[in-house]
Amino acid sequence: MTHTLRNRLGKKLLALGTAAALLLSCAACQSPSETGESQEAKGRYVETALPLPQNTNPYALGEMDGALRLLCDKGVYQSTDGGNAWEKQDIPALEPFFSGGKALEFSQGCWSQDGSLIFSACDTAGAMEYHYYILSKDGELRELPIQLPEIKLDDSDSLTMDLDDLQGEGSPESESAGSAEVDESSGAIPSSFQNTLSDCQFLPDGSIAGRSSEGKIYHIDQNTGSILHTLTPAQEESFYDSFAVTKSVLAAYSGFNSNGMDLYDLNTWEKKESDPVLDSFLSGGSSDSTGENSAVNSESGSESVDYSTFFSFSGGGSYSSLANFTQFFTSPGEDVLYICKNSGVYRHILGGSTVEQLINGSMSSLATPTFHLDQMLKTSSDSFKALYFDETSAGGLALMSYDFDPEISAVPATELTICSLYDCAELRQFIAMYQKVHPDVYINLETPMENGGAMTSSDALRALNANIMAGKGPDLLFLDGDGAADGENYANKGLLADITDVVDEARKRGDILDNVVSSYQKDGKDFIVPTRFTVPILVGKKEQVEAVSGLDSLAQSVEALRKANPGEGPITGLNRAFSLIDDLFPACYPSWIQEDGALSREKLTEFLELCGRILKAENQGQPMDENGVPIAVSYALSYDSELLGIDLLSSQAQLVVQNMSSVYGCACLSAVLKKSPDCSYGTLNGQSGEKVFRPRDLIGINAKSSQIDAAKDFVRFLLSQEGQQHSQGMGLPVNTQALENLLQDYKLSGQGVGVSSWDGKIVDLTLRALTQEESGRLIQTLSSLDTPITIQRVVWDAVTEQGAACLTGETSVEAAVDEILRQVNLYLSES
Amino acid sequence: MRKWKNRESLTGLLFLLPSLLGVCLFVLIPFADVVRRSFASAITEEWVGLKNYGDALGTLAFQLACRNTLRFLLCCMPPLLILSLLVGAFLQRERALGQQLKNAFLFPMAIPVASVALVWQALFHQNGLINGILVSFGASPVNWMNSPAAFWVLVGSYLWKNLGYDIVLWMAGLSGIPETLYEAARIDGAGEWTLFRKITLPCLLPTFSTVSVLSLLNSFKVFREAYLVAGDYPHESMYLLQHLFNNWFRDLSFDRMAAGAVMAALAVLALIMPLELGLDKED
Repeated sequence: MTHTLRNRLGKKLLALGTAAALLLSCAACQSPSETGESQEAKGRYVETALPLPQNTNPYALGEMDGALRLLCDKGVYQSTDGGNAWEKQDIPALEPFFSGGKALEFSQGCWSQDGSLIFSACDTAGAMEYHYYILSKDGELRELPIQLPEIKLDDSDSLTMDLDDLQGEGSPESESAGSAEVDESSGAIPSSFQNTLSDCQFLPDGSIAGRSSEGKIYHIDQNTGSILHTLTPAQEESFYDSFAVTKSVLAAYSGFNSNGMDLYDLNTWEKKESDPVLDSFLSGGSSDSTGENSAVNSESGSESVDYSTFFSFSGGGSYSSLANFTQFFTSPGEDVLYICKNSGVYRHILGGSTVEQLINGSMSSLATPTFHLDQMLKTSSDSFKALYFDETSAGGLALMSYDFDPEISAVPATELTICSLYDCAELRQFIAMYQKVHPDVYINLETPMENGGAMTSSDALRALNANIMAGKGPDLLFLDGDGAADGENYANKGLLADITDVVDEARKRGDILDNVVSSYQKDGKDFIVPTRFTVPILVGKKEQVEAVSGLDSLAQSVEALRKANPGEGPITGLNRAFSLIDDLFPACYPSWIQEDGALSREKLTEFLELCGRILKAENQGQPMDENGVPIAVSYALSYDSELLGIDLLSSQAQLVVQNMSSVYGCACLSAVLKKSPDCSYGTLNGQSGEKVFRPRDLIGINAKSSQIDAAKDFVRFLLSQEGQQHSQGMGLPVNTQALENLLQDYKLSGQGVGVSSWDGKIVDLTLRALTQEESGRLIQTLSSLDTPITIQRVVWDAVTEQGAACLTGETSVEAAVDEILRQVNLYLSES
Repeated sequence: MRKWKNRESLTGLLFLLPSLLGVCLFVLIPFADVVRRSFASAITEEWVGLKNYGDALGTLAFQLACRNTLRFLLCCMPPLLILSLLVGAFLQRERALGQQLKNAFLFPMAIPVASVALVWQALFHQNGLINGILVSFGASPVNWMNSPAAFWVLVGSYLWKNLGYDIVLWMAGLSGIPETLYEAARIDGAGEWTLFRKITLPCLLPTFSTVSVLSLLNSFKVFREAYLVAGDYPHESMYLLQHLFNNWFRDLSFDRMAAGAVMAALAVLALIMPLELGLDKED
């Protein structure tokens, strides 16, 4: 009995002990903030802009004995004060290049640690051959006779290499390198291309490594130019995008096939074991791993960054263009790799277990969509210097310094969170610009739709709603596409804060398009405002444009044009059922909505009938393929195309229907109208003649946010001239002053575009900035718009699907209307 | 003796406690909050009385979803219960073969919902497998997912997926009926149909209650397949209450959603309670 009691007591004690241990471990898991022992972390890299030598085009940035060196098209410059002042160096050997004495154009260059320079230059006067030169630290220049195998096209058009004469110098094949050989059998397609080094870097022993056009890396003797080693990716048809050289390793990156980094020992030139931490980081462990392209710069290298632009469709046909990149650079005497991405600069010790973030991309120009990183350098004073191409600056180039400040907070005291369903270049630009003038505010952008490919916008909204209701929602909501209608819903449900005072400030200044920003005003109050907008327009002969006042008159005009020109090409270019419905429906949609919110059967029927007439006239007498689909394809006629009106010149259309959505598009239109004086443009009115526009990039403040004032300041910035003066192609600014400045921006002038017509004609056009009078006229037209278009995804899907089926004859107009109304009414009946 | 009983009750309560805590934490307390919200406005949470119930009942989508859900239950439950009972009784008789077939019937339950949705799309797409077969026999293709046929696809999917589970439940009930009852009846000259009617069915009443309740609850899970295949707005014939609640949540209509959820819960309770009460009476 005693034994049993003892046993029981023992078990109870054991249970109590376990419970106590569990409680203690739970307590230990508490974060410092929960225990009230929060300690502010200090120190971070701070970005500052540095001047560049005036009117120069830099090619290579390097450091020697603590001084920065810059190879430009006008000379070599040196700065001994960290880049604040530049002094031109007297290097007589290079003068012929700078003065134009040699018809050679710099293409890229790279400094060594001891001050030597390797650069390549293209013979623009001759056969466009590339030559490689080495400038010694003593100022002596010599040409390096690098002979690379040619790139040959085989029968299947894939690139193959003739490696027979790799070691030979002056062989017949190598002598012919540099000019494209024309395959005589075809008479037009070259059978081979010159293989060039697009990136050269010095190795620690003074020899050179270079990446060639076909994606191999060559180890080259610095004295003879002969090839010592050739590095090729293991995977067939793969290629190296870039490489970097550390103290003992050459790290070659093949991002296209997701092979990760190949590491080569610089002594044996054997491939080493891969670095799993690095590979994991590069293949997706990083915060931005999608759609990226890459390029490498060494400490003294210089190479243009290859940017890939991808389009992420946000509902309703909007898109954003964002360039993601990965670059690498190294520091002399270390086996350390620095990785530079949109999300920041990272440091990884080869073979180490972590990748450490040094610079937060979102708190620098790295995340700015209009800033394109060209080269980054780590200096001996542990700061970083970066050369950017800046789309918005007059000179086009910018030099930034990143210096560690141990005294300031690691993260700014104020943190605002913005939620946007989709990643958006326009918003990233807003954020970057705001943070530059407000370094004390950190803006955290959440884009739920980009995190999981399977997530729908409805899923994302549900997750967002749950967070908002739990008091964990973002401070600001940025909505576009599918979200625009939801933004209105948020406002109606009282979830958004009143920002009338902020909008009123802009109204009082008089530099805002009040008709646009007031799109979602409710009882005289603003809860959500658009920061951009697009306008459907019509471009064509003056009399034709003036004759169109709605969809009915558009159909009549198309029919009349077809009757007058029965054998000619497309009229509007909208020759396919789906694109016709998709492009014309938004403008007409406002006239379908009845007072009770339901869709008008009569208007919907009229729309489909008129679209049918337009399509019939459009395709009458036009060449069709075996499936009955018109052969003519209008490449420029995507609704949001930036090539506004160019189809008039390429004979792809006689009456162009497009969206005016960017300043670039306006410059294109301006050039088209200059070339065709008898043409004009006008807004494409709604079905019943409404002057329609589509509000974009809506911003609102979460009423439950604890930082309403800081959030209002951000909205204030977004509506200001300063915040609006940029264009990413997703809409026109709502600030008239910013819009006027952008339209008259001299940078737009001189840019050339080319487009091929359906019959193979190539049309070149030089863009042209608008004159003050022209921009004034445009802004006046935009001020007269009165009907915002907000379309729910359900309606869009139903109309485009059924409408297209109706126009292709799969179903009758009545059946299509019935089906649309059934689907839409189900949606509408929920509210 | 009384002390002993109290001690037994206490032990029972302690065994029940973890589960009860879980049910309270994840079901009862949240549901109490839903009931509270059903009388309040969505965002400001001001007291609005029965307004939300009126709004929900007045919403055409709610009426349609209720109709569809009820129709679905009526079309699914009886065939499922009868079919699974007949198959279960057959399998019970064919002992060796029955065991293997039982496993085969359980197979659909092991298939993930996402895979089922994929199979649906392959089978019932406009250019899917079934239409391919129909066309090859000269019949015209059916737009399965965008016509009233969508409802019957949903019914078929539910029956296919849940038949095995119900068979197992019925077989468990059947195995509990003493063989001696059948032997005695056979001696008395009862035929197979009489045995089934007079012995099997009465003895299976407790199982009937369990199978019915579980089938009812499982019927709500069919939404997952419907949502994965047709999204937020499927054909109106398969627009269920869960679709509506899902969309109301997206549109921040928490007030109406709460009222609708309370009404749906009461309806389910009204369906289950008679079964439970009937069962208690039988006991």
